[in-house]
Amino acid sequence: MDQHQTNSFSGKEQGPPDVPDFDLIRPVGRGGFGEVWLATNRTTGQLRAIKIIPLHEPGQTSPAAREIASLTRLQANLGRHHSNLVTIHHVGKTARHLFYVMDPADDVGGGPASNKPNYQPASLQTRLQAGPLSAELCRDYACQLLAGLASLHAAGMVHRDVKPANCLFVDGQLKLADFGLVTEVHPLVSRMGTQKYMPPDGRMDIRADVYAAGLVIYEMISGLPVNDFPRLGHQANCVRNNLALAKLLRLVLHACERVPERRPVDAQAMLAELAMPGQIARPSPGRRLLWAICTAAMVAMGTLAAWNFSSSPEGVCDVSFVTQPYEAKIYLDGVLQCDPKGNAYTTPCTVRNLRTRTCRVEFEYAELPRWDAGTYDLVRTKQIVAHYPDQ
Amino acid sequence: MERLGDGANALAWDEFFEQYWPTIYGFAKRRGCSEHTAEEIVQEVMLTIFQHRDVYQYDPARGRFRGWLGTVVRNKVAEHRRRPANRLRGVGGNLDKDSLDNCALDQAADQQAPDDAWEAAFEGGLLLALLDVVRRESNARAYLAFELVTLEGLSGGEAGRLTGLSRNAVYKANKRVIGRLMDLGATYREKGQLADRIKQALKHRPPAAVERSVTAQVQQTMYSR
Repeated sequence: MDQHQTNSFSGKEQGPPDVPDFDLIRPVGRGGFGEVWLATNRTTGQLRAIKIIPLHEPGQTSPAAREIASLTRLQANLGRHHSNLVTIHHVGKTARHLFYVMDPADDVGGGPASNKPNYQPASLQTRLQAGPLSAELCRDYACQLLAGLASLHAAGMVHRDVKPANCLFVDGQLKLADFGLVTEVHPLVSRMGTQKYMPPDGRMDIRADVYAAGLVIYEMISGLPVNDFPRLGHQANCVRNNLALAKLLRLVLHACERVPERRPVDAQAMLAELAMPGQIARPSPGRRLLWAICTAAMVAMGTLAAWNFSSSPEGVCDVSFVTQPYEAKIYLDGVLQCDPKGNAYTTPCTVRNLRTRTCRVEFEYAELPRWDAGTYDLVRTKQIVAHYPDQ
Repeated sequence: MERLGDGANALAWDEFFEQYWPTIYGFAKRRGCSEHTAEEIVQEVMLTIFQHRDVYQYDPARGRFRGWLGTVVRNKVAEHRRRPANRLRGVGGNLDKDSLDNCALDQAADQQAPDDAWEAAFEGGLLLALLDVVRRESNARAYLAFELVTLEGLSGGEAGRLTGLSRNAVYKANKRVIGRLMDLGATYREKGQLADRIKQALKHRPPAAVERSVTAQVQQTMYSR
């Protein structure tokens, strides 16, 4: 999240937006499509950061709808919370805004978040303003960033906006934030994100996250703006004399290869490369083939193990439903889907423990006629996205 | 300059700013200005050009663009020297940071004629721009190999250790990058060693902190107008 510069809400409204149970103190940052406010819980007095995104007309392709879809995917796919991802405590809506409640970042001046007037959230971007980081910090932050990113990749998700401004510090720990562009791995993922951190090939898949993470680590090592990649300038001597920095530099060069297939497959592979002892020798062509076969075999075994470990019990699955307009009711084979209390599920939501089968999916929004979203095999489908036909 | 005439063409302004601000900053530094003063001069020059975008018509027959830009920059540096606050501090003998800055300014002015200093700054800026073109064209490992061997003086083996290339690949990459630079900047070939000239230009390259600060300041000023 970038440092707050302008208050986009204050120009349109009288005072801060109203968020249930929270008193908003002041805006402290801007995310992809909304503002982040420092807030206190009216009951407990706890400080929180709240991201607020204006809701647009139902049916419009709005940032709020995209953010809701991203959060739904995140909730559905990410098995359990990872300590290097910012915790989202609550997601809610008011008449005009979508909001979600997070832990506030530490103060840029040191210490935890506070409601003092000079509080500014600490991010990797603010730390990099003072120049390159020490070798220990570079390695530590690189590992934390990659661990958070690896948890997303393992869940089949792409972040698409990895950059220093989205690496916040909470209780001294680096946490990846801003999940507004998170999506599932798909060959047709659209080109969104921050231009400077996008790979030259333009494919915004997992290897695009790898590329962006490489550039973030480059900034930590060199202290130079990302535009200067791969210059080292005055840091060349430090890198030359420090084994840890030299190793990180080689990881950066590997992650930022122009050809996506030459980059590490995901953040976990980057972590593994970092953990490897000694210098990473570039294998000869013959050995590269051997490596490729071994890696493929290991990946296949890993995937099989992960599948066995993480897949739901036989015959049951969880599926996310996202529609535009949202708040549509869900019908599977003509049967309205309701929660255990008998209330109808409305999109966006994740319906758990669905019997695995191929079924016809329909949605119904307000007074509009029910519309057919197609037939899906629920075993293979984690998420169903549908637009009202006239939208 | 034609594209700059359209004030709404933000891309043209970004390109112009990116290409010329290090030259302006480098000139101010060569004339003995402090980092702070040099930053102010960059900001004022950019603002002046932005304000005159409708008035200035580029006519090669009337002189080169570098000459026109040089005049604007030299005037701004001279304006800073004439400012009452600066003069008072200089005369009063308070050896604070700013007055030391003014002393340095005067000494530098005596050592090198402003025209020569501007030519040196401009050529240095061009060389850095060429270097950036080659950096963006090249494979990252290859460019880094060139930087480490040619500009930092590392051995091929050591550059290989840092880039993950073999020693032979480092030499080849280095040669390729130098060759490309020669192709783009042929006029520099006759004027001396290319590597030495690049090193000289890099000495005046603004530090990263200044780059961030100037970029933020100028963008804030320009886009608020």
